[in-house]
Amino acid sequence: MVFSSAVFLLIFLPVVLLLYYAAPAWVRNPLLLAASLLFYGWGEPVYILIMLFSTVFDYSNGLMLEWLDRKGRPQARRWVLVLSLVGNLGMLGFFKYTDFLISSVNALTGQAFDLPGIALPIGISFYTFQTLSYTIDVYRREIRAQRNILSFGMYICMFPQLIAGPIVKYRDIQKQIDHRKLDTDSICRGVFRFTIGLGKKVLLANNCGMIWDEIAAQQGVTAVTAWIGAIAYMLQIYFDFSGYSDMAIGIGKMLGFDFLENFDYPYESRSVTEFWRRWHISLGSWFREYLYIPLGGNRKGLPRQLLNLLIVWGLTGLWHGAGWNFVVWGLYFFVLLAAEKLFLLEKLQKAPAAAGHIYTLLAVLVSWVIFACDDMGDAGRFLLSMTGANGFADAASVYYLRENLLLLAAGAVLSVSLVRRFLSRRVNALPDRRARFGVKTAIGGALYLLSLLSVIGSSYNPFLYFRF
Amino acid sequence: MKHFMKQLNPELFCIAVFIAFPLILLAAVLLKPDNAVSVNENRMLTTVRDIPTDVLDGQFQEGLENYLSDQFPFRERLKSAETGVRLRFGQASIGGAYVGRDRRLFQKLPGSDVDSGKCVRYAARVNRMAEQTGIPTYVMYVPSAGIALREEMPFGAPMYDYDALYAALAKELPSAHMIDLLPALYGHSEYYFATDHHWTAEGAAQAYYEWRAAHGAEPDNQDSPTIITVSESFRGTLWSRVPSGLIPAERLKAFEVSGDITVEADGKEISLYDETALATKDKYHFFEGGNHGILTVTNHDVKDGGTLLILKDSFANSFLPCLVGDYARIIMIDERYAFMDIGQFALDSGADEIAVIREIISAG
Repeated sequence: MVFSSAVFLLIFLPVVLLLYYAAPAWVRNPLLLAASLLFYGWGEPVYILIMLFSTVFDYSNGLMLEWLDRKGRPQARRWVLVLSLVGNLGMLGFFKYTDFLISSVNALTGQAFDLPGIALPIGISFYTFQTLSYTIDVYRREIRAQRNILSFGMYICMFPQLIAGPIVKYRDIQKQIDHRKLDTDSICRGVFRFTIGLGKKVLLANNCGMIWDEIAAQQGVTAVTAWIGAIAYMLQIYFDFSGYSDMAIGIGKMLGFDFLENFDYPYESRSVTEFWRRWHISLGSWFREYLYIPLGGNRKGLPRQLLNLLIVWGLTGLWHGAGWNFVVWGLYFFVLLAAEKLFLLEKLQKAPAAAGHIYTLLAVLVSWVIFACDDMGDAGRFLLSMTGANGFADAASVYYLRENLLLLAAGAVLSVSLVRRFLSRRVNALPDRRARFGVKTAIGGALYLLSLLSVIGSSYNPFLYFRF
Repeated sequence: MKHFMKQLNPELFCIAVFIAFPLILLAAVLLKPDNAVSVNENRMLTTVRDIPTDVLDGQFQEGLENYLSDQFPFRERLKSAETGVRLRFGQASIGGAYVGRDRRLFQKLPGSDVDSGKCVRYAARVNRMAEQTGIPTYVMYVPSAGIALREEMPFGAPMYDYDALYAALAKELPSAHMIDLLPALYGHSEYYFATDHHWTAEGAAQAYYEWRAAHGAEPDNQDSPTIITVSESFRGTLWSRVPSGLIPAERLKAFEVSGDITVEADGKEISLYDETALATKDKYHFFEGGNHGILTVTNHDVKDGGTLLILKDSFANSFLPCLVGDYARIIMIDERYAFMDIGQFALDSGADEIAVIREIISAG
């Protein structure tokens, strides 16, 4: 199930909230587990089995690690950790990368092995990383293993962040799993946050996506048109992804959880290094904590640090998708980040702020074109169009500019913290608590209504005898 | 009441509304009688009975989602209101249509939406047929409204490259007589509907003059077909994409046809003009009651005329009546509904001429 669907908005969310608030505290975790399994299995019921397997597998591994610890058997503990890593990553690898691997082998060797065409269970990249963080933290003795399998299952399957993050580490919410407070103030903040995320996804991301799809489908576009397309995609991916995180964090708050922030206005960054501290924060911190630092981080000299970065960014690319463009995308960031570490960051800090902003935005814009094009040739051609290989502008550029200027300008303004800072200053300056609340409710209500209408409206699909 | 409002915790109220509002909408969807058909969209809506029960392969889930969207209260009115806002904002592309000068609607057809390879293969097939059968073959490609009325379109709105496509198709058709309609249709907004992608009777009449000229008629010696208005309230397929009261209905016209004519479509006798269609949304079905696999028009008054075989899309439906006076028999084939060896059929049916009449982007 996705958040921006009629079933979720009109049935699932209100019914789950109603039951959740009406239920006694001890029923809430099992209830949430059941609701999450329903949510996950909605599109592909058979994948519930994967969820159940993950739950039982990692639950047992956690207990086993602690038991072996009490018995004083470090060697066996290590083997359990390896088993957990192989099991979780093996599942991710099987579902996500089998086709990619075989097609790559075919391309390299000229063979023609059949692709099994394995369908990717949604969210598997996200929850695999959640389960890994749990086992590794138990292994490191940073957390106690969860003894209640229902509570553990609830953590693994929790629907708000299940399919698109943030990647919630067990230790960040372990206290809330068993004891969480529900108060109207934070529930309300959750509702507001959810509506913001819904609006970002439905009103901004989807419309920006249509611009990109249309322009990317055309051959030989001029520079201005290509830039409009690339900027539209840049905004789409930000509003889509951060909108999902907002919705997840918002629903989390409605349920009494505090998830960590996942986006912090990344397009305001002055370097790529900063960008990655503010974009998909939970993924960056996962890789840092469970891969980069264990590999030695920056403690083993510069060459080793660069190698570590290369490994991390190659895998970060691959995590985003099973395709060579994602690998190239990851390595592209490796090059930029390495350059920044070596000399660029120092120079950027001395340069005017604008230079840093422009450099970062350009670097990120180019990265998104690589990200968006499955075919590297397409990415290359599109980037060439952006440099003016097909001319600077034509009538179509004027059309796209006029048609989309308002949306793109709104998107650009809303992707930085300007409006938010301005609004919160003004709203917080209101003397009356009720007035402050009223303004927020009006904004949230309007966003909710418009988004709902847009979700419903997307079903308006005239069946026409065009071409007939 | 005032006292009550003061007592009420605003946060609690907000949460209650957030939960209750969607549930009230859900109740409205469930309680209101289902609409089975969306006239504007020309499709069946998902009703509660249409929701499949199969959960394991996801059909129930999909059906429920469609049901909620399709039966949402005031769905079409909301769409129309949204469209109105978009129109007032001056948006030039709505629901897959371009909104041009005076809110004239055009089908959105950038090059990426046109399968020119398929069109070329079709043209090559027609040429082979012309060569193999030896029957004189005329090809009359209709330019899309957005090509002929370029000036009326939103400035710069991407459309396929007509000239390149026409040249590519003409190259494939050396054995056919090409009738280039663009010069005759170019720049005349009255030749295309403002709410539909088809040409008007006036536009079809221009095509008829070109057709006659290609058959050797003198330009000044034309019998102009008589055009009559059959409906004042035509809202075409493009209007369905941009459904708003801000775009007015228009006239639907047709050619006056007289004589002793019988029309047979897929084995049944029908009439050339289907009056009942005028009472529906799909008024273009007035012409022969829509598309048929094989339709045969016999004019018993024409004694010395031959047989014409037309391969067509729906542009030919409103054009066909012009030709009725010129041939003893016209057989019109819509290749999407009639699967056969057309060349053999042309020979078997004793066709004297073959005509291809279709929008240039539609391949058989």
